[in-house]
Amino acid sequence: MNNMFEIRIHSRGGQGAKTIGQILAEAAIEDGKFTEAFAEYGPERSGAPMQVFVRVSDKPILVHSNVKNPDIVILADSSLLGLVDVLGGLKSNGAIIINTAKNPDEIKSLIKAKKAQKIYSLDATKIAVETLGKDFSGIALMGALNKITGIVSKAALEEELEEIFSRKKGKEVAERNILAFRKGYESIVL
Amino acid sequence: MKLKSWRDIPIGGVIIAAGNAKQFKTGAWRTKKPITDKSKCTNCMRCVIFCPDAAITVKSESDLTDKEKAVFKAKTPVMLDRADYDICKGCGICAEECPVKAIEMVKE
Amino acid sequence: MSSTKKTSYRALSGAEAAAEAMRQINPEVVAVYPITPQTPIIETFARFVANGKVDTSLINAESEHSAMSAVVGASAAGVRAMTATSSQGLAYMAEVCYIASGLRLPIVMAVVNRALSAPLNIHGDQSDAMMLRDSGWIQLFSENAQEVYDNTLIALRLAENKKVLAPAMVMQDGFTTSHAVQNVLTLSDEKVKKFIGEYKPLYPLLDIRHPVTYGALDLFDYYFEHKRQQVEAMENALKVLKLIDREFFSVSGREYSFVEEYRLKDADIAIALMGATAGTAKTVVDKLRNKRIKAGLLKIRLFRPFPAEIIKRALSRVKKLAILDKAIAPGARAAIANEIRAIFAGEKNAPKIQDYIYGLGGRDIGPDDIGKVYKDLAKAKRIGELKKVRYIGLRARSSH
Repeated sequence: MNNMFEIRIHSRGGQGAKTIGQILAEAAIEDGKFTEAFAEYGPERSGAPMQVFVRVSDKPILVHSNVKNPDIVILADSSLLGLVDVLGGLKSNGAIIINTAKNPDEIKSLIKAKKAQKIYSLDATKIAVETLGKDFSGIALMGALNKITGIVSKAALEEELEEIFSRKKGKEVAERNILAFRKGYESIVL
Repeated sequence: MKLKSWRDIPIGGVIIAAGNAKQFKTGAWRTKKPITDKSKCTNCMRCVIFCPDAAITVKSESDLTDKEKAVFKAKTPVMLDRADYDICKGCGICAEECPVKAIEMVKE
Repeated sequence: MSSTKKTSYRALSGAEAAAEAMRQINPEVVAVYPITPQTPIIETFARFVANGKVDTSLINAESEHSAMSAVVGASAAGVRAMTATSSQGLAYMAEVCYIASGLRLPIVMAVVNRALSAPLNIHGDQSDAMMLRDSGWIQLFSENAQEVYDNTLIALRLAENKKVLAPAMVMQDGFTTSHAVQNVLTLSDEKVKKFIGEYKPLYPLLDIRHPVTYGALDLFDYYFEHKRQQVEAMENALKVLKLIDREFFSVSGREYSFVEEYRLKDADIAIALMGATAGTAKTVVDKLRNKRIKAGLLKIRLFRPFPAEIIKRALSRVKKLAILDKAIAPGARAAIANEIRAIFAGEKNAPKIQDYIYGLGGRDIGPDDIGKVYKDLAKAKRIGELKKVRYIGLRARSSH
């Protein structure tokens, strides 16, 4: 299991975290990798805290339980801070990506991360509103994730975005989603 | 009736031979038997329609014997022949429905 | 698809994998009623119908009872008919499920296993399937989306085989498999078409040149004989499935058997279970093997008919065995425990067996939980310690 990469996304029902999981999974497969993406559902209701789990590996994935020790946690909605244990089980050298308008120092004081755990933040909501005209922040967060890990290739993710959104919403929407993805990517300084 | 083994019957209880209801004699259920007074019968065929077991058979005019023709003077092309006693359960509906009271239920 | 694609894998959830197999089977009739977590199967399939990808008459029934009744009617009429359900839906179908099997109709049904109410729960466990384990349906369990796809195609062939003619349920774990996007290899439409062949019904009700009666009264003089025939069908299914699995291997390159013996040959301690947790358990077995602990796994794929002989052989060398049931039988042993224990009743060299209940109502079971089971087994010395049923992840005390 050493070569398995595990992601946990904390979000609220209706914010598109499941879509991110789907895109990551499809892009990972595009990359020739093995993947599993699933959401933990409560009684489905919009706004309720929910989790999405994504695994990516070079080998077939056999484990089907929830991700307990993620390499990366994505906090898609910072209002969940204090409501859910976002750092729970995060690997000691893992990272957390937070969608917030707050500056990194302020965030660091809010999150009691271990020394080797990295905290990244970006205003994905702002990027989403500017590029997509609505708070579909997941795409920008995916860009940030890609900058940080590259576990799934940038090319595959962009291709997947292009394909999914062109098919569902047309070419123009696809282009704007790719722009949101790139802005998210660029907003992370390693 | 001889009973067959589980190896020798169609699966699923499906009946694959059409018209085998003939083999099932419900006449044994009967305690009273309908007897028709043919001199009263007008060939209205209400008994044929009402019989729940289609136990009353109908003959066309061309099949009538001379003797039957003498008894039934009606102009209708069909006539009440007889109750099929292998099937008739003796329910008495024919007797109840007969408008000229030509059918009588008689103890077996 | 895209040009940069490096594999032929597709990203499909278990539910989508079932729907994809259904699309390729292209049944004449599908009758359904939605229920979580089955719904994405029929959502996906309904899209195929709307987009003209299949020729299926899709009947949105007013209940599962009606859905199964419609499928029974269609199958008796002489066409391929399928449906899908979960939990309460399966419970509501139960009456008609017995009619389907009793009339020997080769219906294939996708069952997304979910806990039964009450208390109300939408998540995965196998109590719904266990409720109908003696209904005369073939029951195949799947570990992942790939197996859902493969088992669906195989189940159709098995159900329709003239020596079998029994309906089949293809199981997948609710949410854990049904809603998880995984790597799945699918066959081309042509390959599937060739594999499943043309359906030739035995007694089609709509063949007016050979009129038949379905559902006639069958009393003490013949009912017993007809039930004995169903036993024969299941015994035949064991022989037929072996051949179909072999044929499927030649078509797909994917090999299946009634059970999967994972590092079991020289195992001292082993777990037996069904469904998605088998995958998780494999990762634990690998870890233990790296530590030179002789652990193994028996994954049961075919639960009905129950392949007792194969399982007996597979487990005969195991010293200590944990049987994990994802369904509970209050006041009795759970289903798998019952079956496996019965195989070894009175046997001298039988493995020492410990029963476990796990995952009820979708309670997550991870590698740590399974690791603990193996640890329990390794530790236990006397038979007495292995008797009482244990519950994985159940709170014995309230947390503070």
